[in-house]
Amino acid sequence: MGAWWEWSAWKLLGVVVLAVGLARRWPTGPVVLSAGLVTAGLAGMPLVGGEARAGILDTLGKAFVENRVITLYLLTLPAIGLAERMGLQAVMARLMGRLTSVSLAWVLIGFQAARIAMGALGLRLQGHVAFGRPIVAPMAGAALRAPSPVREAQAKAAVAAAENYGNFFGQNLFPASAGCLLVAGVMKGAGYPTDVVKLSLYAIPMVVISLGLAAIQFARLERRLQRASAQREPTAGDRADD
Amino acid sequence: MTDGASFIARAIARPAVLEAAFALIGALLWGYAIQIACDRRRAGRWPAAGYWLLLGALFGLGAQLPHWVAGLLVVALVGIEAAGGVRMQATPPPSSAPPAPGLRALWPALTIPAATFAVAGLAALSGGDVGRGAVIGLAAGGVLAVGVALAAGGFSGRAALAAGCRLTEDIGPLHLLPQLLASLGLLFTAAGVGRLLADAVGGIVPRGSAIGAAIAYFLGMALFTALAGNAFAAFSVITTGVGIPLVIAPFGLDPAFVAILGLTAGSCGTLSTPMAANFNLLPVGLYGLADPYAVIRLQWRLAAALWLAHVVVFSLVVLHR
Repeated sequence: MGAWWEWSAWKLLGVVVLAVGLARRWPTGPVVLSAGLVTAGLAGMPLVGGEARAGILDTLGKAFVENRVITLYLLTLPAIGLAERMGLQAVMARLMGRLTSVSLAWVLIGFQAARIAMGALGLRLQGHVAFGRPIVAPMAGAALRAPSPVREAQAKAAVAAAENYGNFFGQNLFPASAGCLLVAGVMKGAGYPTDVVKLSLYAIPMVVISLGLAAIQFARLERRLQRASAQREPTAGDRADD
Repeated sequence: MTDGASFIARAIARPAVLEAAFALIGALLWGYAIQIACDRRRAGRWPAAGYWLLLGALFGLGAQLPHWVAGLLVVALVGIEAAGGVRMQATPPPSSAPPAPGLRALWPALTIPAATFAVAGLAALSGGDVGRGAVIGLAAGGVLAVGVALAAGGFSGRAALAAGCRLTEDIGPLHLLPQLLASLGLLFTAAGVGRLLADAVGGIVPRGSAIGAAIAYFLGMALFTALAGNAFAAFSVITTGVGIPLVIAPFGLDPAFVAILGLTAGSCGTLSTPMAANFNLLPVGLYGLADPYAVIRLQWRLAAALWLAHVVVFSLVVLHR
């Protein structure tokens, strides 16, 4: 350890730039690049490398080109765009509407399972906009035995949660998803090449557990909302506590 | 049969096949660039056209360019983004949907996963690289699905280009975020950030304890994700800094198993943070909820339980090795 300005820990400033920049929702590209430049610059990497030492631009260019596969799905967007013009969202919405079920918990868990299935097929759709708001939220509201604004709001918040649970964990089941490809890219760069299919198989336990935990949460929510409707109107201050 | 099988395995393994897919993306992006440049009604079309032109060059010619030139192109892309050259728009709901959409709309969308799993399956049967097969299948599915859509919807090739351009521009530079973050991970590794983090965390975690190291890794993923609002960003930093040097390397664990648990531990952080606004705050307005944290209030409980499940699953697997 030398003087304070020689601490190697200054390199971590790039990590700080990354966290703060993304949290403040600054444009993502500039945030990521400045994080890299700050760290590489503080580590004393030259701009263009030579025989002895890799440079910043070389490393960046090589990494970007080697990781092109992560953004391979750009090739699927024309077809998805055409499918949307043919009414893809409306068809999916209609299929989703067939989740006819009287119980709130079953509507929620059915929605989550449907989103997991879509994720496993690599269908990248904005669930909140495409399904949650127009279809599942009204269904959840209708499943309440004694509707009230407060109870409806809690049911709708649970719809949003079901969408996030299904979307986050389901998408890893598709081997060519951006998540699996990013993991494979980072691991390969670090010298531990991993197979994307293996990644998607190893994602299964967490999908199953998340579905099970969500089922418990939704069943308890349903019981609480129905019990409350039998007794009294919960006040607006009531939280989603169990 | 064996000849056919080995042919498939070899075709999938050939770098030229994947390069062809990247060349196709390059051509597609240049098509978008030309389309944008020709749109006279559009204000500020030149920076946007330049952005997709440069990105197309990186995709189509990336393997031929010297690395530092590719790096310079990446910097130029980010420069255009920083100057506000590529507008980012909120995705409008797809307009002009036919009044009675038929199930035909599903065909192109389902062609893509069908091709992905078909080629991955062929790769598995022929003893080739299954992951590689899935990637090639995704590319083939994308191309095939355009043909299916053209046939099923009676569109022109021009409409396909326009539809792809709209969808690509809607998300804009965000498309590149995962790829940029993976590159950042490599840059951090080259700068020695991983070793620094590993030393710092390694000083706290008891030596020789795989479960202790895994707890540190999963906690780091969840906390960094909650801070930055992005599990992919956390993954490139925390995995190279903690996951690999402290969990995978010293205990000889399966990298795929540890890495995917790390990513989903990060997702637990995403569920609990207002920083992931797209997922946790946007629905509040969309569904008309009074409490801005109504969604997070539900989610953080499940996220905490699920995070613990990560530790349990990891421990069970490690102890029964």
